[in-house]
Amino acid sequence: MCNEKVSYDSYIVFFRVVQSKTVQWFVRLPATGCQLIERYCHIQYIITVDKQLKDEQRLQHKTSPKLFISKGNLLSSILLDVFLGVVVMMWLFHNDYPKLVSCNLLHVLDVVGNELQKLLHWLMGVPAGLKLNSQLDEFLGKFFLYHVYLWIGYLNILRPFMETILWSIGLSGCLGLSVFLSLSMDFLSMLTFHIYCFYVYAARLYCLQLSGLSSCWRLFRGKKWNVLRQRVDSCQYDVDQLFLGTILFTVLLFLLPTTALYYVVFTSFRLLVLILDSVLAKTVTTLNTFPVFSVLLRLFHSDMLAGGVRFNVIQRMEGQPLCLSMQVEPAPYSVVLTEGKIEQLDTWRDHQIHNSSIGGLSRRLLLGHLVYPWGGDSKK
Amino acid sequence: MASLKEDTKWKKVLYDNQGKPDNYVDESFLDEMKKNVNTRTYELWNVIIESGVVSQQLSSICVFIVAFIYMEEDILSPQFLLTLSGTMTVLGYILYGVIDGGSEKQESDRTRVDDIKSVCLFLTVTFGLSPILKTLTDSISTDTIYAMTVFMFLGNLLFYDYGSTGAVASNALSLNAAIFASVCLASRLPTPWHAFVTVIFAMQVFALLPVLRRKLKSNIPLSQVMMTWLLATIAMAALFTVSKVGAVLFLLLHLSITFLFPFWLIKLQPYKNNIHGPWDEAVIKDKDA
Repeated sequence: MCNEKVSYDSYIVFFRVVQSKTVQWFVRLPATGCQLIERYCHIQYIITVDKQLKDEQRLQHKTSPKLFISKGNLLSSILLDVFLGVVVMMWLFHNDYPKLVSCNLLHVLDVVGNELQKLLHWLMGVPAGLKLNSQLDEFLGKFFLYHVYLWIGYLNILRPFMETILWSIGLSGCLGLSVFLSLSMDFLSMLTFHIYCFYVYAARLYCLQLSGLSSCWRLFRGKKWNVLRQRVDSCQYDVDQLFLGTILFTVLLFLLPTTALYYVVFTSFRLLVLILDSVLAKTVTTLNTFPVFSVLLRLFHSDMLAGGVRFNVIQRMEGQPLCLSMQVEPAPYSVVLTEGKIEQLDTWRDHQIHNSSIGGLSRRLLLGHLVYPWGGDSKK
Repeated sequence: MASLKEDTKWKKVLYDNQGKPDNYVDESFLDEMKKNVNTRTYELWNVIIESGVVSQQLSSICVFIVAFIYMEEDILSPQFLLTLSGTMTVLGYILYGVIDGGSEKQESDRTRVDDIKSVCLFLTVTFGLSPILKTLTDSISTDTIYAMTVFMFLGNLLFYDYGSTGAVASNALSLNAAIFASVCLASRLPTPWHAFVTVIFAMQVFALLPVLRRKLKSNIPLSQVMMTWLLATIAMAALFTVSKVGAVLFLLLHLSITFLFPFWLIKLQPYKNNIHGPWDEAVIKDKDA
């Protein structure tokens, strides 16, 4: 009796811990976590819909086709996913790709490390004839060089495990192609972690300098940002404030080209990685939301998907009222694809701000705010 | 029987149906026009004396530039400049207190301790930042620096608060432009100590001297002429030792500001043609102002 109570309590504690915000956030941090949770939600949904359908059948109510179709969509999507994953896995292992890829990857990463060091040395000199402040240039260059050194050490630790990691990623294909792709996305993020770090350092420094500069520029003109009214107002400054502000303005202005150059270089690297990341994320989303079952129904059993009615006039005879025949028309493919799209069931977090517009993205880049990967489905 | 309406004189009212369209005017239209109501009439000597403010500022800029040139050519040592300007500042401060008689000190919240704190702040910050200031513009060419300096000093002249309530005057912008120009110049000098002295000297000439000048002008009007000519002579003597062309140019500019431009202004007054009338927009006047 005592043992049962202890195990019951510990189960409740475990459950509470898992439900807590930190753990939930932490699990969704890698893309694989999100994907697995999404699939878990799908399976839960299928089970509940199944129960609902059975209840309705028992009570002799009409079965709603919508539930049936959504259940079908989810099941078929999971099955297709697993099928594709197994195919890819077989193909990978048949050609012994993990070993090949791991060798090439290690070689490529070494080359990248060397090239980065060469690039930083070039930036510390006189890059492209640009005029940089030599002290700040040297300081920033040495700072980033130390990080590259750390990253090369980190790669060396990873070297013996590379093949095992790739092999296990390939094996995860039996859980579905989407899980395989999410795992490769996470692996890519892990490998390019240093680029992410460099980008964050450079972006934060640039953003700070830019905001300081704009504030000092307002002081230069004798104006101030009114936080209450969210506008620029004139302001009577003290002489010492003016003096300090002008000196700071001069210093920040002349140091801006150096910081901006480092920011531009590391942002372009980060954008390259983000593009790759987004392609993978988009594929995963498509796999998650594509309504396979609806499309198959439309092809083979189109009278289940009604898209409208069509009236035909039957041959009219004298003295008889007008007779029309009604036919149910199947829905067009565009409607099938948009209506049948599987919704995102994992509602725990609202996705980050997605810069889907070019204008928003350029504005964030120009001001030094951080950009996040895009390509996932944003909640409408 | 229809009664004939008398042809009465048209009145400028809208509540009476006078049989004419709403925007009709008769020949009394321009009677209510007034010309040149708000113009000021200038007197020649007043304008000449007041124009001294502009030439005073111009002279201070020239003195500063000559001091910079001397330091660059190593004729003037920074220690000497620092001691000289420091002594002059202290003398000016005492003079300010004497003229003032303590009235403005009681009006503003600043005590002597506040002034000493400000001085310490300036000195410490400039001394701390002087190594950065020295290497700030190492990679920018000298010509660009000189162009920026000229531009900034022009801005200082333009936006200086000459005592009128013109909308263009902005005390902050003129001071900031002068400090920016001095930092640009300071970065061309050999050591951080030079840069420190330049910035402190600029601070004294462009921030503290105008305060003294304004106080002198408001309390002792006669000193205005003396101040103008004193500053102009110093500037011209200094410029003369550096470049004769510059001295001649400065002399011409000074004379035109003092004599030619006021004369021209007064000569152009009769051509003023401001029209006022009942068609103007209403201006709401504050009774208390």
